[in-house]
Amino acid sequence: MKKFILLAIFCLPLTAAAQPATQVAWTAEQLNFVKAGNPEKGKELAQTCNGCHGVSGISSMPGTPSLAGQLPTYLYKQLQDYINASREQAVMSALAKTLSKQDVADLAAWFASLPPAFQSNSPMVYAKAEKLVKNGDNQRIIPPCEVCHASNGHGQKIDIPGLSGQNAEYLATMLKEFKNGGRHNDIYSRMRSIAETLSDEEIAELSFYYQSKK
Amino acid sequence: MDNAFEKKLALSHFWVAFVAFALACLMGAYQMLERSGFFKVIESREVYYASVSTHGVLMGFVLTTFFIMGFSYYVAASSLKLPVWNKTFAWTGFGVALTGTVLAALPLLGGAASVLFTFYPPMQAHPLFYIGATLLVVGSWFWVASMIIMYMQWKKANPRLPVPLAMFATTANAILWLWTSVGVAVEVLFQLIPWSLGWIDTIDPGLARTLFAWTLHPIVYFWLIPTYTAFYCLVPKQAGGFLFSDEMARAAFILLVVFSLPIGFHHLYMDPEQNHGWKILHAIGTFVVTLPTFITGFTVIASLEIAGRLRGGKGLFGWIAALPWNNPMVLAIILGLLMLIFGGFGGLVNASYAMNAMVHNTAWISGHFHLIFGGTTIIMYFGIAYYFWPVLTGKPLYSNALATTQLWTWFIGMIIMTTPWHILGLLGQPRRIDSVNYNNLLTLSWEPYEVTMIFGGMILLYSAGLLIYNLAKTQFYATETYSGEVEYAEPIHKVTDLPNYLNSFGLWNCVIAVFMLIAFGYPILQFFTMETFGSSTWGF
Repeated sequence: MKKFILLAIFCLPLTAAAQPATQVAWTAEQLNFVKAGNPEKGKELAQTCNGCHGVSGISSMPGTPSLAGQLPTYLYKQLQDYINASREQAVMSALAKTLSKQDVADLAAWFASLPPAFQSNSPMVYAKAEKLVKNGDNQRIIPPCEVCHASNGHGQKIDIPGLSGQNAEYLATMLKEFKNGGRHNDIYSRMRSIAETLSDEEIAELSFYYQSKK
Repeated sequence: MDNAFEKKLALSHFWVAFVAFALACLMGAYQMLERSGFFKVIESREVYYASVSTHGVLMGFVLTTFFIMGFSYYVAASSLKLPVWNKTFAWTGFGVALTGTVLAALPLLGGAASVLFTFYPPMQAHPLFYIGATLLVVGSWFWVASMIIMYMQWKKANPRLPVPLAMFATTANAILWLWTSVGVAVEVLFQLIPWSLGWIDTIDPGLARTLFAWTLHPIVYFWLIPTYTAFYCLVPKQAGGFLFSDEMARAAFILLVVFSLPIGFHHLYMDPEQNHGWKILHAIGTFVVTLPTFITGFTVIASLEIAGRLRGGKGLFGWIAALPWNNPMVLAIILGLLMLIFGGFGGLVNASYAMNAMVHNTAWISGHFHLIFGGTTIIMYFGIAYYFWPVLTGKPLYSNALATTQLWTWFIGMIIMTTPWHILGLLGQPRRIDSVNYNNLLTLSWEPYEVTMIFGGMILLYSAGLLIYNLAKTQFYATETYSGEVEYAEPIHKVTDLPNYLNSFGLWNCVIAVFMLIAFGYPILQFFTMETFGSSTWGF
């Protein structure tokens, strides 16, 4: 019996680790469901979102992300993750739980249809960030950011988010959240394992780099 | 019979082929420079992959298909002494293939078909790419029909006589291509086009890869047969001798057609969807297909020796020196055979199940492919072009010296480029990468080889320029006239009577059907019978 209890105790962390990072799996049905989202219905639902994310999906609040032009699959997954508590943030978690699955797809379709945010071309040169974006860092086994997020920073399928034009403070907060594990809805810890090797200075540079990228 | 129509038809095909070749050479040079990491200004992942994809399509599908069609039309007409069957039909085939090429080029150049010139889902290209590629194949089927009809016309008019060897080889290639193209045609029509158009949501990559493997190996023999046709039927005459054995040549062509088809799984050695047993079966077949190449090596060298000795060459190797090295076609075969020795050795490594594991998906494969295809096969295309151009244009070749210089530089450039490429593969460099800078220590050891490759590539680019310059000068600027015709080599022992199995393809088509059923029957059927999760076979 003692052995059994001991074994059970040792196995406990395994059950914790076995929790998936997200409940969203990209089956053909799921993809078609998102593709069929109704942007007009989404526009109506977005009245609630406009206060923080902006009327045209471009946020003027520094810590709040712009959603315009984002991949619909990414937006759908994030809202589902809030609903399933795979991603947590007090306001968003509460709001998302009021939405049906169809509402989520409609909202994703609406924001994806809007022209993306672009702040301004920055005269600043972010050399460290640029090196990470284009080459990564082989010492820390960081792949170049653009391999997943695309060289124009617009993201790519299935649900890699676009980063260009996104506000820097939000990007920095997210990278820090990934770094400390506060945000953990990335499959295979892809972003967590990268962010934990980044310094605060690099996080800040990367955030400004992407904010000023069209 | 002045063959005026056939000359125009062949020249039109050849020009499409060589323009595609010239563009692809420029892209190849860019890719080598971009990939090396020495030139930051030209680095771009998107442009690189669009360029690699276009380079591969132009070289592997456009240059080859158009060259082979043009060459074969003229060989058929000149060896059978028959006009090309149904002129409109032939031009329609040309038009369909050219339309397909242009349609496929649009997404390729726009970066919407950067799937590395293969048909491997889940990499997905724009539907136009698949539709264009299909039209190119459909256009080539017009040529297949023409060749088979002309072959039958001649057989009907000359019962019991041996079909001229050049036409026998050409018909063998048409039949081979028909069998070969079925695999990719089924994949593209039933899987890739519906999937890229969004008609189906899922696709079975295992089935797609199996169908592509059906096409992937024999396609290289489709490219190679015109080269072997020149080896057997044109070179001995140019060298001043005779063909060593007509029967041996026919046996080699039959073996090539029969055994190049059921062996495609050596491309799938590292794939999970097929069982080891099937891979070993295909591995054995892969070794059998070396047999016709050995026969060819022996027969062709024997033919060259006859020529060398007739020209006064003495001793064990004196006949080699006595060969007309300044004849572009003879020089092309000598250099081609040298590259075949190196490339053939690499091919045996690739074909071996265990050794393949060490080189699979490394730069070795790209090196091997360039050496054996860009080297042996293509250098003979050049040799053929230099021989055919005066015949087709009615004007003498602008410069024989420039032609031999071009062949030498192609050979030297190819050796300088592909030797380090093989070594890079052994040093662990993956193939199909746009940048070689992701590990300091390892990539440092790659750098000298990258530099050498660039040097070789630049020689190749120069050589390609010489070819186009010489051909254009001949056709558009020469004022003299030339009235020669294509002359085919006579066998040393004239063939008057042949057993039916060396003079027709009926039996061999049945053998191929049985072999294909054994080699691909169950491996394809299993996708329809086994339980799969998430990906349905044809998307239903």
